[in-house]
Amino acid sequence: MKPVVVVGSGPSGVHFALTVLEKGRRVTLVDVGHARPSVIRQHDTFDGLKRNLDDPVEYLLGNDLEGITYPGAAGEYYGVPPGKAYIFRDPGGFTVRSQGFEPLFSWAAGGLAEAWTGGVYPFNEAELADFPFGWSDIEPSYAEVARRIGISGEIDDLGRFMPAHDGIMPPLELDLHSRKLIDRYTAARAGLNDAGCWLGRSRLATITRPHAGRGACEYLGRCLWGCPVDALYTPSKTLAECMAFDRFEYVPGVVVTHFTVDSSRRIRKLRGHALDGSPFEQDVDTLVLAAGALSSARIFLESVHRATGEAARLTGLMDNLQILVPFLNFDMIGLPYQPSSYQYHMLGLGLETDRPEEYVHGQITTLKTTMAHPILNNLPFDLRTARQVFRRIRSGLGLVNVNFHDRRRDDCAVSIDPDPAGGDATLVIEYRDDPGEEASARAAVARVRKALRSLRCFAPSPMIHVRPRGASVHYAGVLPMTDRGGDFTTTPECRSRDFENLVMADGATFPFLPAKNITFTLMANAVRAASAL
Amino acid sequence: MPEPHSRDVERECRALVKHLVGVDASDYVIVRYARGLDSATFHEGLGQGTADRVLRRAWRMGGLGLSLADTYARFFAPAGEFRRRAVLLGAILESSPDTFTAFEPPPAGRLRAWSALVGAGLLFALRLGVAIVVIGPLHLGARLMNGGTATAEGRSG
Repeated sequence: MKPVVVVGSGPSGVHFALTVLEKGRRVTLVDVGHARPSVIRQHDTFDGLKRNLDDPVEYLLGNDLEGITYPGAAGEYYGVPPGKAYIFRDPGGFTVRSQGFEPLFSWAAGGLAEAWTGGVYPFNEAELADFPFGWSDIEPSYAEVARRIGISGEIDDLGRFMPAHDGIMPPLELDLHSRKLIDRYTAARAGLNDAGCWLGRSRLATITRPHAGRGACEYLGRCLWGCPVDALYTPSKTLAECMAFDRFEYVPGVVVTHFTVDSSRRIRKLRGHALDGSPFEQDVDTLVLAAGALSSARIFLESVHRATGEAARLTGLMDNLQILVPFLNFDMIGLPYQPSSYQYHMLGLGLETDRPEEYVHGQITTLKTTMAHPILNNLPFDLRTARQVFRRIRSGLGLVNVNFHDRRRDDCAVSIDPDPAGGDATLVIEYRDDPGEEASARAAVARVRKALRSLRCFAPSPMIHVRPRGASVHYAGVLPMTDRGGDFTTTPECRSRDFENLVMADGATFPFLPAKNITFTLMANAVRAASAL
Repeated sequence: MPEPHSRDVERECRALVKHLVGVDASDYVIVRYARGLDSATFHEGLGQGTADRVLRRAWRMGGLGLSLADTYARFFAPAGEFRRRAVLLGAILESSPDTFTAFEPPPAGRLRAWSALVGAGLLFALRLGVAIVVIGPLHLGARLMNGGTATAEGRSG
């Protein structure tokens, strides 16, 4: 039997591939696949690195100090840590034009989720209402992914928004600041719950006991620069698992541009180019696009254009709006600071809304080893005073990353601008904000700030930052799965209705985007679709 | 073997380190600072405003001049050259073995921490008043001599 050809090694691609391999089939995975740099001083703490490295500035800020956020810099508060820059390194030849959207693309082995913060939140029945299947259909796939990647957490007050599934190990140890927040929540629970606000432990793909050859979290404080002990799951771990199968072939160093079809619209070949520009071609029996919603859409659109001459437009692009709400916890002033602790969010905040699928999710991160200089630069003092103030308040600094749902709309779309000379097309992205979203986001942020006040935290409004659309990297919706049929859709099993031997295995098929991180559902849906192959 | 850098850069770095964290600059920090000033990322979007021309004279005096320049720059040239240099150095200092603890909370009880915060705030307010009185007229004069052109003070200082 011919191999299943998978494009992309992100969360969808590797879990699709592993499921197919476990069924006894052969898999060829084609990928750009920039590799992660080797880990240095694996068991040093964050402070230990500063003491022990010959050149800690190069490690933390980059050789050209590209990790520094200078005053007046446009864009995000923090840049990409230099150790993670490989994830976004452009392989060349991929051009994008976008309006109202700032997309991020990854070319790394493991994809964008190599830089994720590990939140694993299953969609509940209300959030799956637009999907052509329900909770009971996908629950076994969630449990399978949990078994593969290892998930820590607790079934607590947030459980009302997050269904339970098998395979949850005990949660991480809380740092002092997170413990204080939970204690305050416990004291103020009745009032907060009456206001529709709930707090609980994040469910994380960070393991608290050894699992699948990976070590438990050692609380080294290096999460932001890439977990040195692999306690935080990333898809490159599953890629390595796939490589243990002799029926698996990994083909890195390739930018896939399109596929070619025969007269019955059956895909015959996958085409692209190697990083040195030489042409690439691969015979195809079954093709699985799992390069991420935008990259898969580009391959799909270019293939349609080359096959039919049609410059198609795929509507329904979705992305979570994210608003960052920094806060100061007065309870922590004068208390110790814990750089040797878990650095990503350990607590979650859920806001009920009138419609359950429009739930608002906040990830609460207590800031510890975050770089200080962008904060110093934003405090309303000279830099010397800012440092003096910062060190006194550092142990009480935190951030709520507030996430909002998104729906498919016709004015959010991807298309291509074909190259008349026959070269690679330009991906064109258009995104227009939902006119009603600003008011509901403003109201939700006001509720978050009120909840923080109940926890004795102050969230200054000038510090609130609305991230540019596209920053969440939760892209979805341009080739939705539906049981109603139609062009540019897929079946409930993610099989394309336009090309009979094509499976769309990534977020492109999601018909709705809840406020939760979608990565866990990307993996579970890929397992579900692969099981049906 | 430290890399070569100008005496001016070394002097400036030493004064800024003393100002920001109150210790002597190590050779490592001086070399890193000099390299940072030459880096492409430092020069991206860096312009020259009238405030920076005035502030340069103040910060090169060191001591009180530097302190007043830092305070004045926060509100009147927040993205100017002085702030960029100071932020560059701050980022290096928080990453360097001898100085990163200067950005971490000192062991203290609540009362000492709150007292320190209030004290720092009051001193800042005092310095801001002096900086406006001393540097403000020089800045205004320089702008008038420039024909009152609307330089993008917020971005380039």
